[in-house]
Amino acid sequence: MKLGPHWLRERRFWRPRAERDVDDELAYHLAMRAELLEAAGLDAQSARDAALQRFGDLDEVRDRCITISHERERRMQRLELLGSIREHTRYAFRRLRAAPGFSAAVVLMLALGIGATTTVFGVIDGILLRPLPFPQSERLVALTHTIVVSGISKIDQSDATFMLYQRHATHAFESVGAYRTTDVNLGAHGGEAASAERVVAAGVTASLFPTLRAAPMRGRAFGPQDDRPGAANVVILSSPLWKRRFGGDADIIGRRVVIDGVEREVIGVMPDDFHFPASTTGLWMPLGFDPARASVGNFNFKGVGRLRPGITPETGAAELAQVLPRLFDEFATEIPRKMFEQAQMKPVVRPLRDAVVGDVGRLLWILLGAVALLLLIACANVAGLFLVRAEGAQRDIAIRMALGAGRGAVVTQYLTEAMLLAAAGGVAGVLLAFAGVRALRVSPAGADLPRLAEVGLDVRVLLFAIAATVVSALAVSLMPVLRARRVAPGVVLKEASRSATVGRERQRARSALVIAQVALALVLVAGSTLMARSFSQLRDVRPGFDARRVLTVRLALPDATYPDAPATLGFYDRVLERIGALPGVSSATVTAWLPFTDDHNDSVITFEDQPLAPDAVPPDHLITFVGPTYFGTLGIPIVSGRTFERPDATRPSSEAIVSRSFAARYWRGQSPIGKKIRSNISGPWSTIVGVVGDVHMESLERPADELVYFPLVTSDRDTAYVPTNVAIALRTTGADPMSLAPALRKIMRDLDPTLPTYEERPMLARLAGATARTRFVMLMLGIASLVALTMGMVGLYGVLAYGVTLRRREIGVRMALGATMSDVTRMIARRGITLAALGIVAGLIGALGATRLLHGLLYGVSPTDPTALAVTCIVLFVVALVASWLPARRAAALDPMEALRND
Amino acid sequence: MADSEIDLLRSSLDLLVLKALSWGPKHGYAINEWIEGATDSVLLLEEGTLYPALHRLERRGWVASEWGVSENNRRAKFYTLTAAGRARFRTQAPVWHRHAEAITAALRRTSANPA
Repeated sequence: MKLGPHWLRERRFWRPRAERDVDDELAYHLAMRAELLEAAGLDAQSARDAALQRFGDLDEVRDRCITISHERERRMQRLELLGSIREHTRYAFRRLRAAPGFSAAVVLMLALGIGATTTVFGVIDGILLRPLPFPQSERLVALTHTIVVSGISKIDQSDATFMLYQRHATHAFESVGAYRTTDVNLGAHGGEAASAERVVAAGVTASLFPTLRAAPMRGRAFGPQDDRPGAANVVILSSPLWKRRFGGDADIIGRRVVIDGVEREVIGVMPDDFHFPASTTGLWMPLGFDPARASVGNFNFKGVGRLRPGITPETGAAELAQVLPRLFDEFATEIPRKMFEQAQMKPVVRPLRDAVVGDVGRLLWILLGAVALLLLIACANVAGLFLVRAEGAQRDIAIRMALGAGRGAVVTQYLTEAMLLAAAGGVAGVLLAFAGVRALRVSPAGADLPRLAEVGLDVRVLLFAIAATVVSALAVSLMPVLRARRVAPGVVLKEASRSATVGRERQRARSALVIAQVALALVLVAGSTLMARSFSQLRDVRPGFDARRVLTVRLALPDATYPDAPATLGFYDRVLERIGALPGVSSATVTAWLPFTDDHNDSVITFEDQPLAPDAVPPDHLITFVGPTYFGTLGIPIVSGRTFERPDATRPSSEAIVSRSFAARYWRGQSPIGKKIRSNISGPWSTIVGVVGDVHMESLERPADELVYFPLVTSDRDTAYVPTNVAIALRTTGADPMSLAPALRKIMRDLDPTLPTYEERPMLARLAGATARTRFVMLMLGIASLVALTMGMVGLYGVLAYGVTLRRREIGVRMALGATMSDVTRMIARRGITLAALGIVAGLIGALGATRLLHGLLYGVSPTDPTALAVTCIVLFVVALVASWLPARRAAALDPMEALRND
Repeated sequence: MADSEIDLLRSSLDLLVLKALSWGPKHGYAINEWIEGATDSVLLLEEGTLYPALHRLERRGWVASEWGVSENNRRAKFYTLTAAGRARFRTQAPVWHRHAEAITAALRRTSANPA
């Protein structure tokens, strides 16, 4: 066969097929033409040249033909692929529809697994992974300090330090802002009592919003003219507050509202998705720092900065450290400079997102691990179901293979079925996740997760769901696919209906899957048992007071209507008098700080009999101001001495009471009664008149706080001071303190209708909040464990039941030879227990490693706590027994004649 | 459709090829000979332009190709008309005639006035 012109021949062997074809085709044409010309008399070379001449531009034609050929090939391949996919899918669909029980079970289990995993990942994505919703948020940083002072190690900003940084740290920072959260009373213009409410608010510097690059959607932001002392009073509202309280009034700008008794003009409304510093923040007011009256040592403000492009947090911190020593040059203060230096204050700059998210990361990743285990268990279960199904379809496959379907076709079939089911499970799972995330947003089980308002299902979460679906599909089809490759069609078709050998192999595989499921379930159950023990240990911690039968409510008296100590104290006296007159009340009190309220008060303490070394830093302790009936109402024991005298607004008291651990620390053994202390480095002393039992004020996990109590009326630079932001607590004789809530509200309304009260709840509820996070994790792990146990039980049941079917003949023979029903039962049950035992052992090994991950969340319990692990093993054992019982009974109920006859 | 309205020459070649194949399969060289003969050698194309046209027609599904052995025992690519190609010819040939008549009439005009 002549191949054509030699100039095309060389390239023949390493060209792809399309190009070879085109070359051959064109070569043929040229050869024919050349031959004709030769026959007409030309010599070979001229004939070839003339043929080329007539042909035209050979290269161009060749290229065009090749391009078109390639296009055609690609299109054909595409069509073939699509057709093949369509065929496989249609066939898979038909087969699945013929097995509705199987399909439903698989979809359900995968939906649970994928749904749970996607929900938790969605939460992780919204809280931990997504950047803060501000432009270039990676340059936003939180500004704090570390400090070496007894009792504290971290502090925020004072107005002086903030103003200092704002003035001088301009090289590293584009801008800085400060804020402080607070609660305010919001009354409408005119102060209608009915609509007064308590709102979470934030005082901000005018520079804060520009630092975040956030702007109001209506009106304007604060400017420097609003943020000066003596400026006109203004306020910016949040969008939810504006819609809820002012009906989304289009004319809101310019309206006046009353906040804490002060009239303010609304100048702006922030957009819907602006949640700073928290999603509950309802309005913002300027802080109005005054450089002339800056307070160097009161670190009550949080600082935020925006780094300039290219500047790292370390560089920023270095610049702040350089600027800090100038604090004393620029701001007047009583604090000696040396004391400040001894405190070794160092600025800390870290990403704002880390500061907002806090320590909730660990908890969330552990939850993700737990639901991933659940997904694995679900996949193992489904894989087992697939194996059974493959068994049933053996003949079908053997026939198809005998008719010419390659192994590849069978594998593709399995994969298609698995993908279809997984896709259905994935879609259902995403819907579940949707509902789950929404449920979590509405009632976060008290875990108080930050940034929860930003959690939603976005692209990344959906991609995760798709990935989980694909991985699940591959995982569940893996075993049947591997087995399919070993099916010899001849063997299968020859076997009558028993196919016992292959069945046995499949049983082994399924048994392995069940053991894996039991092991994974054990890890989950171990985790939740440990959390449950932590929770109960935490609840057993004595808080130091008796929370039962106590009703509490918080209130804040505005300066405008209660301008001085006598007015404030007078109000408290009237309230307590009326409450005391209510039936069912045994005592009532006023306090500036109730335990387990999100408040925090601390102060330096100096001692008359233990004077400070010159320029040493005095220790810092929690302090609060309480009325004389406080200890009795809350059930705090008075260890020695007495409680405060009745407060008198005209005579500030110089009494103090300390907690037992405070006394032990400073007067080790001696009685502190009569000693003098004060909450300042200079000024008048207070005398200790009593020692009371320790109380946990903020956390049950940490040891009880060393607390100092001061009376309601104290002196503050020559004037009497009575705290205006307080809580009222009353102890009832009846069992339900909330039953007195309406009466309490009525008293408050009668005495001052414009004063809203808030956080009205029993003390027990506040205490429950302290264990909230532990309870949340326990609940989540508990739910996962329950689902895992159910799936494991179903899996074990399935294997055993199928085993009974496989061994019918054997059982029949045994019974015919004299085995009793209980023998058979025991035989089957023993198999179930063996499988479970193997799983338990494997799971224990896994659990010993895995529970280590919980160590940050556990309280009072080690990750390898023997009791918890023992309980876990017992639980799994019992579940295995239950799962084995039914198949064992079925086996025992077999009629041996039937079994032997029905081959 | 776009072809026939924009590229008159290309569509002409396509129609000629379809016609050439209406009597049975031919290889590219034979099609070229037939066209030259049928147009009375009036139409002398560069022979190369035939092949992209053939490949294009195959891509559109109007002809099908198959490798076979030619009359002188050489390996050659034979083209056949498909059912779709036949239908295409039946619809497009009248269109081509109409276009050709319209152009002829326009070229014969004696006055600049379009009406």
